[in-house]
Amino acid sequence: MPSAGHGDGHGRYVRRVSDQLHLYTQTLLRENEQLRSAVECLRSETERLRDEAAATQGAWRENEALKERLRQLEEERNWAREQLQQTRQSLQTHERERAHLSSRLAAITHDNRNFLEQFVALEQQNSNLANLYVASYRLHETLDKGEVIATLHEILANLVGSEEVAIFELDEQSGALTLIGSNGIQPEAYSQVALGEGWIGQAAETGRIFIRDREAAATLPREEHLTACVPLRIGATVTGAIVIFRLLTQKPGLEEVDHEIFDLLASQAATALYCTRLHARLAKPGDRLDRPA
Amino acid sequence: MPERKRILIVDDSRTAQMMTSLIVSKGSFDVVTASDGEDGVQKALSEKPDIILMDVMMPRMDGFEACRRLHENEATRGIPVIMVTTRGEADNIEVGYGAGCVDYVTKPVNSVELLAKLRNHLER
Repeated sequence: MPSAGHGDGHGRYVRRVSDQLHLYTQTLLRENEQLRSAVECLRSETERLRDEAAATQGAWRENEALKERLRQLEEERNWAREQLQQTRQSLQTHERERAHLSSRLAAITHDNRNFLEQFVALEQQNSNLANLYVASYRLHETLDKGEVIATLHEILANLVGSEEVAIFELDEQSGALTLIGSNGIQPEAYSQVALGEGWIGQAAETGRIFIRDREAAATLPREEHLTACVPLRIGATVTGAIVIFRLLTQKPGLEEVDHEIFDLLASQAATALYCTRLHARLAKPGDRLDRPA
Repeated sequence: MPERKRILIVDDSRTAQMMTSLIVSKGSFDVVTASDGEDGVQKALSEKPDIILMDVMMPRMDGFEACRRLHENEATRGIPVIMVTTRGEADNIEVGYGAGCVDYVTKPVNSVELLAKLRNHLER
């Protein structure tokens, strides 16, 4: 410490120290301020880093979640791919099976159609045979001429399909056809037909069944609606004729079975009518065979 | 074993009766016949058929009238009647339906058609 005799020197010393102290204080304050600013900066940086760390943490978690989701999606995609593969294989199997079944169905349908056609043809054949059987059976069921003629009308209406018919017997003496039964026509115009006259007379003369050509024009007015003429024959001898005029409206034309019926009638109706004549000639009054069936 | 169905054939022509009987006998049906409309109505009441095949032109009572009678009677109203006839004209068919028939078959009878129609009406 300076002595009292050195008062000025002491004062200067104090001032100098004070100034230095002041300077030092100033320096400290500045430094303090700088430090405070630095601390503030550090705090703010820390805050920012914390926020950033928090954000990074969030992003990391999100990333992890996304990774997990991606893994799941990949698993799902693989599963779906497998399923798709299996479905494709199954589809191919089903398509092959369907093609096989379609082909079998087509074959079965084809067979069915064939069977149906065969069934219809057999049924038709069966029906035709039944027609012939019924016609033959009915014609020989009686010895009564009227009944035979009525049966012929029934056969022609129900089996051939005509309700316009004429039945003739050949009169050996006159050599002409004589009408013995008719249905749906004017009998007067047909009471006698000479052999060789018109289609009816020609058929009876030749003994051949006449089937009219649709285009053929009749030369005789009474034959305008004629469809067919069936000579009745026993062996080679003509004994009469059956004439079929118009067919029923629902019957467009003669069929194969009609030709067979005509062939049958040609002989069977002739025999049946001949038997009735013989029976009429030979039977005694009250003969039990005269009783109707 | 399914119950055999009974068919009543009403026709004055024995040829037609015989022919129709032969056709339907292939379908495993029992057949009853009647020779005119009146007889047909009586047989429908006594024999209780499952179906009737009815001709139109018959003595005593024609098929249309018989069909009407059957339709009017409570006991026979439910029996289906199929007309089987030579009369294939449209107005006749209309009269038949008016009299109560359920179907129409024209002669000469097509056996396949007749059996198909019988089965069709019997299965209803």
